[in-house]
Amino acid sequence: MSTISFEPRVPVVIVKPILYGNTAKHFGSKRDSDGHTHRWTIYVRSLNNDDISTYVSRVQFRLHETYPNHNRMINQAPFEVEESGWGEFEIQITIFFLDPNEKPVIFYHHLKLFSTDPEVVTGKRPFVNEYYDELVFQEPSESFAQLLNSTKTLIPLTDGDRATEKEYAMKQMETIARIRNARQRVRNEIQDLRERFRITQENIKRIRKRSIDNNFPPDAFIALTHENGD
Amino acid sequence: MANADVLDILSDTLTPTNRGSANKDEIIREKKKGPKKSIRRPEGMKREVWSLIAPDDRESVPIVPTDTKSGGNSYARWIKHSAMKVRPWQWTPFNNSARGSNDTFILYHWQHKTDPNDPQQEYAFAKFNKHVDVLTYTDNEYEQYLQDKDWTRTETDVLFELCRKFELKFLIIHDRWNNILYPDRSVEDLKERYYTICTTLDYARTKRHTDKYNFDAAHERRRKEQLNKLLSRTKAEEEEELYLMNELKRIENERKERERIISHDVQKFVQQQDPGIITTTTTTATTPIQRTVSSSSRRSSINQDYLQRLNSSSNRTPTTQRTTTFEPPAGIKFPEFKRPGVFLRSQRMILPTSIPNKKLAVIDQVLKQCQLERNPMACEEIVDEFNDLRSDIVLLFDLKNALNSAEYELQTSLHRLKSENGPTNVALSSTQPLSASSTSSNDNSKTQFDFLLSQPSTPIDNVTSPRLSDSFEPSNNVRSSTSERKRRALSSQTSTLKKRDRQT
Repeated sequence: MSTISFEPRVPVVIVKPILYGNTAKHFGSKRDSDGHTHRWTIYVRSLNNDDISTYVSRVQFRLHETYPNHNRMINQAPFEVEESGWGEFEIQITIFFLDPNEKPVIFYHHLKLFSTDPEVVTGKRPFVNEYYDELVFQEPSESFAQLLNSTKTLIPLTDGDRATEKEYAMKQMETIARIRNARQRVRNEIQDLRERFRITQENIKRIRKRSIDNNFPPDAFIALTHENGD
Repeated sequence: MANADVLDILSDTLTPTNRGSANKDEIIREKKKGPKKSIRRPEGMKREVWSLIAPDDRESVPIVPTDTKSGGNSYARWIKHSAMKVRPWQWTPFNNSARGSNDTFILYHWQHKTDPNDPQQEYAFAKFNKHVDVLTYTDNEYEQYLQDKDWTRTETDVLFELCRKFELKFLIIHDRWNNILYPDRSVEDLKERYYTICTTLDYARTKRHTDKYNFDAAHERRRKEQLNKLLSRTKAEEEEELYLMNELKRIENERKERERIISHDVQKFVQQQDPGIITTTTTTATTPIQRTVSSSSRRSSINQDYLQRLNSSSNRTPTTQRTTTFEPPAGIKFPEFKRPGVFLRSQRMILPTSIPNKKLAVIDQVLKQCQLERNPMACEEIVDEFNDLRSDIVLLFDLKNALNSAEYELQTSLHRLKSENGPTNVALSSTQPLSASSTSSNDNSKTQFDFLLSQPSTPIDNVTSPRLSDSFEPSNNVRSSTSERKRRALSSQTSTLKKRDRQT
């Protein structure tokens, strides 16, 4: 068992961007033996192709029960599972870290095989269903922090990798811009509605006051209803 | 087993301690069973009443009271008497003195045998034959005090004769009233005449006012007429009344709901501060963490401001009491990670499950309109902004609801005011971005009223793009408002008001 050692925590937050998802490729026809139609790979990797095994001890992929050995434990890079199948399902991914004191991180990915993109259908482009996420290490222990900070690249960056990086950077900027836009719109509307609300309330007050002045207080109305055993 | 029987018989008087050689297990079991919850006395009931009917306590009071006659020994006495001979009964004839002295009707009944020498007792029930003393007046008195333009002397005499004969049973008197010889009189007329004569006579004779003959004929007539009306309602009318009562209740409830919605959210809406904050609870900076979180510095100051506003706010005491729980005034509380450990950034974007489905749908709708996907890529800035955006959306939704309620409330108040008072001059500012002249208080009031009434609930805004909030579904509690339905509801409300006024 791991020794329970208390190490002082470094008050930093270390962020490691990762990508996880699946690729899928259609066979072209349905395989008769088991009805499989696609070959797919599910993976977890770092954004810029760092070696995440510096801090990740293993990754567990839990596939659909109908797969033999459906708990696939991958102990070294690259952390991926390649399989074939015919259906889409949810895969539970658990990342275990080298630091025994850190709890594993669990998340889910829906395996997508089919796409309507014409380029994918014809086979020109491989189908990629990928998500960007970040592992946030909050106050790691000292030794773990050291591990985290010492990155080494797996293989030299390929052009494809650089392109992905750029893609994501652009996507990030776009998304932020759009979100900010949306926020502005919503905020404007909130201001506007707020103003209207305030005015309406004032109007209600004025009307109420007027009806009181006209000797027909709305309170009497309420009193009447109470009289009748409400 | 004999032991068990003995134990059963004696179980009331035995406690576990004086059972002598009970073994340890039994005592433990007893102890375990011991704190058996006895049924509590229901709250409204008095202690003594409860002790009478409480299920079997050891200390319960016996239900049958003990007999205290003859020293508590009445049973023994009865036994003794039952050994004696039966007292003799006799079939005797009797007279009823209430029937008058020259009455020869003889009935028989059983009586205890009495000495024939003893005087015959009066029939026991004769004493209940009471008579009414109807006043009589002399001619002088009649001429002096009792003249009336509607009533002739003969009529009055006949009335009094009938009263004497029928012992002031006015329904019979009225039935016997001869409406061929004399004009037709109602029961109230007869009563009125009788009682006025009595009061006048009484005053004339004793020179003192009494309340003995108080009779309000007008009130009686109205009362009977109303009862008649009530009795002779047709089925349709009755149903209509019930329906109106229910409608009234419902409208009142809706109004209270609206009040609640409006006043509940007033705190968050009337704040002058930046609305789109407070997605997570604040923490004073515990350990200096190197974070690049954008809005954390604002949060602590904002909660201070918020509390200040709570304390200094106006007459909304119920809401201030409610909102002194340290809740964020608007928006969603997203999961926040403060403890050390590893997290996935996207975990901070998960919507809490407490959000109702309607709000979820609204969020999705707005995101779609802004061309945003439901789960964007999870980097720090995006996560923060995205969470704030969703918070804002929820706030917008709530605000829209409250605004709808408020506007509906405004319309109903206007209608009510208008229908009650006719055109009056009420200076109301419009929520429409129109020219200033329409809001001046010197306007012709009628046009202003109508203008406000015919105002659509959402303003026509040609300038900016179609609003996000317009696509929100009409809200839950307030009635969804097509203007026609509003008018129907309002008219039913006003007619309810009128009907009530008529009846009381």
